[in-house]
Amino acid sequence: MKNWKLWIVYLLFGALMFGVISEKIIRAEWTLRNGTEFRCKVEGFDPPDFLRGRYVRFRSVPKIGDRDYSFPRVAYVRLEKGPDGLMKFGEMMKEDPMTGDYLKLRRPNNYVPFRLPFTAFYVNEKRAKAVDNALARHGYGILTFRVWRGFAVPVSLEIGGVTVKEIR
Amino acid sequence: MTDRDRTAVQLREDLPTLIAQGILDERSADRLTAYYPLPAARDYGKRMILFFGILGALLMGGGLIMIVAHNWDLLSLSGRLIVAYLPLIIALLLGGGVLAFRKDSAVWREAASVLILSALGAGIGIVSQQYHSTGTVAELTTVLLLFDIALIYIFRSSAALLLYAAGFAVVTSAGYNEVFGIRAFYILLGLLLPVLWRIVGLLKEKPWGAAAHVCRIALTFMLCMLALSASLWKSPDNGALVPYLWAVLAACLLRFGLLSARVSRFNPFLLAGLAGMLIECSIFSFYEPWESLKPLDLSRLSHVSIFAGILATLLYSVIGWVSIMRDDKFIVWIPLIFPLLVLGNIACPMGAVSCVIFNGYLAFTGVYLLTRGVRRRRMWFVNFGMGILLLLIFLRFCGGSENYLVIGSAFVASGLVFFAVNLGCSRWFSWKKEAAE
Repeated sequence: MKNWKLWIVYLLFGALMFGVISEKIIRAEWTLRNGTEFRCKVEGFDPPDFLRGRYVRFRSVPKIGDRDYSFPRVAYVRLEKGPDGLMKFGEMMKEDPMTGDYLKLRRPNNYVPFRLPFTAFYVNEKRAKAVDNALARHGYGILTFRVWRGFAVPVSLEIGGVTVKEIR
Repeated sequence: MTDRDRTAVQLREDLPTLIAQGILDERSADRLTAYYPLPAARDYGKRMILFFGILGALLMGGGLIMIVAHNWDLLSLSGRLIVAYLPLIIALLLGGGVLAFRKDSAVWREAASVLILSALGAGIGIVSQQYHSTGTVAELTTVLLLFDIALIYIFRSSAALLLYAAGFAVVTSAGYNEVFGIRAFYILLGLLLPVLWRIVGLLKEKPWGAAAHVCRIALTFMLCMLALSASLWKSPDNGALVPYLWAVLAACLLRFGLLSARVSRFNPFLLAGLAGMLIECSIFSFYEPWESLKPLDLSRLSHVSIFAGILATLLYSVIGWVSIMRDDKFIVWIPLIFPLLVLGNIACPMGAVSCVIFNGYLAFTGVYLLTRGVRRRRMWFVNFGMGILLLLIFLRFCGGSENYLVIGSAFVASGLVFFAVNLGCSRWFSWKKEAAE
């Protein structure tokens, strides 16, 4: 490959790399600023993970569409707020509704229920042990997340009325 | 090192025995030594610096990811974003510098490609942590593989090619059904076309040698894919069979590699066998995998699994038989012991005892290779022995809930240790050789 062609390819390649990271940041920031806030109950623990640092892995999050063969591997579910202020699932759809509050869901195959798009909440390693103990003591936490066009970003996790950033 | 150089080294090892048994007299031995001079030390240096340039870059990349895992929530949002972009900016600038000024240096090209890929992984990792995004390993690997393809082209990098093969195995095993279903397997297999591009390049340069390389790569790849397919095949109970299949595959590839090491400089058997053994050593140095090896219930195994098991046992028997007939040295038996341990544990589960035996076996192998390498002035042995011992220390060190910052820094430090030991040893060996001459 000629030198100038190689440089063009390299510059495009670099831009694409920045694009991949930037796309994740922009989408998440947009959701955090413009998305609708929901809360849901989660149980979890801090698993040993060599590469990803310390986080709370949600042991049980609400499962959706138990073994529903009529749906493909990607589906959309409307989100509503229940009387207790917690999120509850509404109508399931095969097509992207593009309006309102909904989540895009995926599943590995048609034989298992859909899963929520978030399964963990990262915490600072200094507080990880205290957070794990608090979760074990209270049994569950309340996860706050924001949703925009099917995409969800967790905002905070409260355990016993205290956010994980305040747990010491 | 050329075939002639290898013959010269082998001749130095065999001459004392040949003289002692009266096959050669002293004068003939001297004439042979003069005819086959030892290779220049810089040949070794170039190869080693290339290899350890890649290893150093890998360790530094791994260290970067560890430091990312530290969770930088003391920094502001903009601070964290700078930390996310910074490794990539540095790596891309370095890559640009390599393309501009060091395009002909294989060491710089290989190291730059590995660093760029690691920096992208670290960047995506820190953004995922920042926004609690939890994609699967297969999803992240798929993104990295797509960029890895470009790195193979831009930097003509063999290390990127090997990383692609490793990533491909991760995606097919971890994300077999999760990302794109079975289509992922075929898409990523199709993207292996750059391998053909590399091979065509080799064929143009050295037609006869490259043709042999193509066969070796194809055989290595086919064997790995066969074992992978057998592992992934849906079966109610093929769990115990899978470790056995991979143990046999890595041992046999390593044995093929040792057999053909003197024939070919580019030896995929040896690389795949070494990588496979290191991965298996990492897994089986823990207690849990040994505990999970239960006696096989043949009635619950699928036909494919039984067929793969029989094929693996036949291959293992043939390699064992060849080794016996050739009256090989102890060193070739080292990898062949591992499948025997797995098989023994399937027949008679011992759990903790097997784990202790295996860790002892690993430590012994590391020390044996290290001392043999120093005694015979073979840097490959020194490095592999040192690698096994470092691996054992890391696995024990990183098993608990230690500080990721410390672990990341330890990775970077060990990369530097590898560089220093290799540079020091290669100079010491050259000095010893010059003194002997």
